[in-house]
Amino acid sequence: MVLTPNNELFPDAELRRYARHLALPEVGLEGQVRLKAARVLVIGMGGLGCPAAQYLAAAGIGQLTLADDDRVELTNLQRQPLYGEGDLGLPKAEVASTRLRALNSAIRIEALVERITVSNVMELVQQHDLVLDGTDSLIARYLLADGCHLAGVPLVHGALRRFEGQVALFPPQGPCYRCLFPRPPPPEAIDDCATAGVLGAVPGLLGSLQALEALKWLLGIGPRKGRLLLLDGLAGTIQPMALAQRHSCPLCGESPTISAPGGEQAACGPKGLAPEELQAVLDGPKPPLLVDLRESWERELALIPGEGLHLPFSQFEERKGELPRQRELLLYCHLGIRSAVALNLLQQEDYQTRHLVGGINAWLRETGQQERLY
Amino acid sequence: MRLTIRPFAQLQERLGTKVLELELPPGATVAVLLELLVAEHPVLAPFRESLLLARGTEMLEPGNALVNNDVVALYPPFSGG
Repeated sequence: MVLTPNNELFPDAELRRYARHLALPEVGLEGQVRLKAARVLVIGMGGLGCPAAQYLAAAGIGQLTLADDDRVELTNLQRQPLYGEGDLGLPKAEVASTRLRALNSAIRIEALVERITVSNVMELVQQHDLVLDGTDSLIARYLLADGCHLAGVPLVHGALRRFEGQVALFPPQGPCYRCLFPRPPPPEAIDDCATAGVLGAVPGLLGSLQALEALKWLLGIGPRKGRLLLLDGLAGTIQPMALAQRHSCPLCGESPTISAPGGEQAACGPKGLAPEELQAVLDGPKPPLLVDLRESWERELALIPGEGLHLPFSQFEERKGELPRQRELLLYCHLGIRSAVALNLLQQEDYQTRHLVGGINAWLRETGQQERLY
Repeated sequence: MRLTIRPFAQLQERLGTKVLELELPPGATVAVLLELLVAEHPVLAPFRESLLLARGTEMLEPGNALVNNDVVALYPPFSGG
């Protein structure tokens, strides 16, 4: 047994486990004690969160909170090898916690099967020394970035598209995510892994980079200023960029306009229908006409039952005149992106219309039909 | 003065090219560049407030002055995880 600087005991087995850390002059016993005392929140246990959490748990972070409200789907396994075929349908946060407890039983791991929201973000973030962003939506990313900056908690950001990725360290004093990208683009301009595609090893690399940045921050080694790493996975390059605080930043600039997290929560807008409200609306006295904007092959995979018509998005511009004006329309697609674009076009022409936020996938999740997700 | 613009990720797809050449008045700032880019390429309009501009490894702010032959990279935020 060894007496550590803060009078806690590190059992011999634990010391042996971290022998390769202890051999590093930059880590040593003091560094290992720091890691054991650290509380890290990983939001999103997908392509980024899995590898990041694996390295954080292996490194001996004393308290790890893994938050994700999704369940393991078949399409995840191509890039989230922490999960297996036997985990399909189970909550990611719980499966990941079980796996990582088996990897390191000496640390505390908490599974949180929850989505990050305007109402829980501040409390969650404040309970941790560092937050790692592994989410898969821009709304969640801005919410988290706002929450971390307002709470004074460092954030290690990671995001990707196809072969490209971004990893950034945002120290508590700034610069922040909004110094880079002041406001999110509208939902119709955004695509995600499901629509854009992703090669599994890309998030593997990015999540590992995030873990490295997080560990260095907690150990107090390496650059302490805001930094961005730009990965081009196809070219095989990583370009570092020093970040500067943007004077006009809406969150941490000279005259900030954002004082609470999630200024863009309204992105779904009043014209968005949440999937949990769908059944009540369809059963109501004046049910809207469902307009399926997906292609024919997608209709073979899953359908929302109810009176409706099929107008593929690829033919939307030329055929939108076929839509009735005297009845409310409810547009839907796979993920709510095509329907958001179509909604914009129809609103300019005075149609009565809403769209299903998150598309049929969100509705399938809501109604427990995970096996039909695509 | 002449500038080279290098869009990344979905901006390349929206613009249909990996590189753009642009003529700007001498001493123009990053804000002017952005205005002109969006005016000439309306497909960039949704990203007007969502872009990171960089010269080499230097992050640019709206007030920064540009010089002849600058190469400016345009990065959008990524959502995927």
